[in-house]
This record gives sequence, C-alpha cells and structure tokens, in this order.
Amino acid sequence: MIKAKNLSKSYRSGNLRSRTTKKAVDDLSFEVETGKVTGFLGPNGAGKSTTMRLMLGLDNGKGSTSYDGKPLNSYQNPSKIVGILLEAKAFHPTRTARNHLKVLAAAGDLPDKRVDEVLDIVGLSDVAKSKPGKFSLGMSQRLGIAAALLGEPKYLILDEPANGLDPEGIAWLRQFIRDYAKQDRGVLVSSHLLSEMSLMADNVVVIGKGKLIADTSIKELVAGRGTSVFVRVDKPAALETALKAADLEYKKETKGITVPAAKTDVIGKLAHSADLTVLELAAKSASLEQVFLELTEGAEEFQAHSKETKK
Amino acid sequence: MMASLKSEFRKLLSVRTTYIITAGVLLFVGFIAFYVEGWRLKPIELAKPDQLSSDVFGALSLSLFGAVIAILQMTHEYRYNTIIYTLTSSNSRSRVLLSKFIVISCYALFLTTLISLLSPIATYLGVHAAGHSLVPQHLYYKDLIWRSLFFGWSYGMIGLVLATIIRSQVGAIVALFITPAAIEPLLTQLLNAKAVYLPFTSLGMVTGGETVKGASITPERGALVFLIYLVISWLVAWYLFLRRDAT
Repeated sequence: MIKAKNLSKSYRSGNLRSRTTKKAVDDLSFEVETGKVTGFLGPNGAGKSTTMRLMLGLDNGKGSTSYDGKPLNSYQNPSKIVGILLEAKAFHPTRTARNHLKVLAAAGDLPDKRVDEVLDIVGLSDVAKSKPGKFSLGMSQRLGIAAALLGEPKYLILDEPANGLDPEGIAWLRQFIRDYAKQDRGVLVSSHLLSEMSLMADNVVVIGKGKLIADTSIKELVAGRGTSVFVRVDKPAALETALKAADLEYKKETKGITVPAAKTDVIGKLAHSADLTVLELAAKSASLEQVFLELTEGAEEFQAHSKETKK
Repeated sequence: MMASLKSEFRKLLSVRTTYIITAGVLLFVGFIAFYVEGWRLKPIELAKPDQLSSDVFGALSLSLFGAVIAILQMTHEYRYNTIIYTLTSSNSRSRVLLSKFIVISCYALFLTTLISLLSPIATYLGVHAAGHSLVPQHLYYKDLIWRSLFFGWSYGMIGLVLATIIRSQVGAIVALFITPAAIEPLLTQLLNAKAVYLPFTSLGMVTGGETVKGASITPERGALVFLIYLVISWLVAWYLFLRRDAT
C-alpha cells in the first residue's frame, strides 16, 4: 500500500516587493491500495502533478510517502517498487526509443531484454529504432508507459496516461491497468476523462486547490449523491404546485422537471394524486462527472468565462 | 552505484552530439596541428626543443568542448525532463551526481588524451610533409601528462558544476564562455597581479605559463588554486542538487 501522509508544498510567486506564498498541496493524506486502481481527480491546477512529484521525492515539500511501510529511497532498487509516467515527452528527442529505455533499464539495474518486452507490450516494437522526437502524443504516451513498466514495479503512478491515445489505445490502457492492479499491485492514475475513470478506477481521490475533497470508492461516491427523478406531465404547473405542497425541491428542465434525491414511486403517486397524466418518469443516477463538478465547484484554479458571464 | 554509472555512460554514448563534438574537436586539432603548427612552421620555431610540448598545451584549449559535453549531459536531463526517471531510479541523489562526476571525468580525460596524442603526431607529420624537420624535442612526459590531464579534466568539471548549478543549457554555456572571456579580464583590471588567483586564470597557469599584469604562479600552485574553487563550487552544486525540485 502507498500511504501519502500530510503532503504539503508551497510556491513563492511575485517579485521581491510583493512576494506571495501559494499552497499547491495542502496537508494531503490518502492511500493507494494494492489490488485496486485509484483514480486521482481534480480540476486544472488542483495540485495533482505536484502531489505525484512529492510522493516520488522529485519535489521537496512537507509530509511523507511510504511504499509498503518504507520510504521509496530506502529500497535498493526503486524501479522495482514504482513505475512512473509523469510527462509524455520525457525523453531525449534524438535518442532512439530503444536506447531511451536501455538508459532507464541500466539505471534500474534491469536486463536489456526487458526493453524489447515492454516495447512489445505497448506496441512500439516497429519503431524501436526511431527517434521519439517525431512521435505523436499517443506514441510518446506509449513510450512513457513502457518506461513505467520496465522494472515490473509493484506500483504505477501515471499522470494523464490516456492523453493523446486513440480510442483503441484508451481501451487497451484501461484493460491493461485493471489487469495490472489485479496482480496484487497498485495503480494511481490521474485523468481528465471522467467517463474513462469511472470504468477504470475502483477508488477515487478528489482534490481541489491542493486539499482533499473526497477519498472513497467510486460506487460510494456516486451512490452518496443519490438518484434524481425526471418527470414529464401534461400540466407542469400543477405538478410544481404539488411538489411545493409536498415540500420537495425541484428543478425545471426544458422538457420536464427533475426532483433530486427522490424515488420514482413517490413522484408517480404525487402526480397521480394531483390528477396528472404522466408522460415520462425516469430515475437518474448521478454520473462521476456530475459528482466531480459538484465536488470541485469553487475549487477550480482556472475558469473559462462565457460572454454572458463577463457582462 | 554501478547501475547509475552504466546509465550515465549510456546517456553519454547514445546521443549524436557526443560524437559530433568529439569528431569536430579532433578534426580541428588535427588540421591546426598539421597545417598551422607543422606545415607552415617557421625556421625559428623548428629550432625550438619544446615546440611539440607547447603545441600540446595550445591544442588543449579545445578541452573547452569537454565542458560543453558535460553541460549537455546534465542539462539535457532538465530540458527533456528525463531527470524524473534518473532520480526515481536511484535511491540517492548524491549517487546520481557522483555517477555524472565519474562519467564526465572519464570523458574529459579521454578527450584530453586524444588531443594530447593527436596534436604532436599531426604537427610532426605536417613538418615532415613540408620537407622540414624539428630539432630533437625535449618532452618531459611526467610534467606534460599531469598538466594536460589536469587541464582537460578541469574543463569537464567546470562544465558539469556550472550545469548542476544553473541547470539551463543556454545559461550554463553562456557562463562557460563569458567568464573567462569577459568577466575575468574585467576583474583583472581591478585585481592587477592578484588576478592570477582567479579560477580560469589560475587554471591557465597550469598549461600556459603566461604572465598576468607581470605576475605568474607555478603550474602546481595554479592547479591548487583552481582545485579550491572547484571544491567550493562542488559543495554548492551538491547542496543544490539535493535540495532543489527536479524541474
């Protein structure tokens, strides 16, 4: 199990006259269990990459991270403990893909034959002698995944590994990561593709502005938000009156009304008692995306503004 | 440690710039030694018994390119972000830095040896190709070897220490060229005879024997002064390498 404990990291910004300190990661603690895929979610600038770097000792900050109870640098060969993909294009552009991996294999005291094995796993055997400077983003990601797999590590820490992959590549990656975790290994993976995350991850850690927002299983996270009921009737105004009378919150949609945290039979009976004809009645489960947006509301570092909002 | 060393050697030997720069330096040394120092040698210089020795020391100025290789070895890591793999593959940052130190030392000594061998051979061939001959040469091998190797190795170390401290490729290369070409000459105007104790000037004393504002120091003293600067710089570089974020 990876245990990240009280991770904190601050950056100074501004000039000498007006220097400010910004907390990129703020007292963050969570765990990555073996046998499971842990999704790492947060808006842009939430501190996901910084957290991963802190966990690996690449950045200096406060707190500690243990891998099966010991810090990473206490292992003789860290390459066999954790494999990383933090950036797709982390390679010398004119060093061939095979040579790039051979450099990493040597650093991890791994046999050269492992290089060809991982190139085969990620489907880059045909371009092993090519210079990766001209690789597409998807190919670069595959090379990064190959680098992470070199030492057959117990844990994988992957930052946006699906970026740039084609649909087939994403499906392969999803299955690969799930299979990898099943071998009593742990995977921490960040992604902005929430639909992918919901298919891939067992647990999820959500952060915003460097702080922990949620650390739970995806099932619990989504279930905790409950279900809502969408209803369409012949006389919407009458239904609104009935809902108000029943002290139920509701939201008007273009074609109907959504009643959060409700059950279909309750709404159905209410409509019947108000002598309304029900045209549509459906229970809606919250998606991971909805939950994510709800959880991280106000925790975004960068926000787009529409013209209307600017006015 | 062996794993880090092997990886660093592979990094050095798997990029084409290493070969291009090495080949370029050797071609230039060969050309200058053969044509300028050999073929076109004046009669008065043919009679100098230390002509080959001074040719070797002159050619060693190209050890500067050993420093460029050292800079690339370190700054490529930051430029292309491979430092994340280098540091997470090892359980000690000090070990990583020591590996780079050893690999660059080996390369710098290798380059210096090639320059030191090629230069007198090419000069000798150039002189004979022009139909001349040198007077019997006095080659003080022990002196020649330690001064040459120390000079070449030192440039490798200068490059590596600058790259470790500055981390930017352009910044380190600019510092490498600007310091001896502009900063130390300006400081010489301020320090006068004491300028022989400036780092690049003192290193120049190891091979040059020229005077600065009428003053000079022995090669041994020059080497010692330079080593003091180098040790202090390495302590700073080591501390920064341990403490700074790997970005």
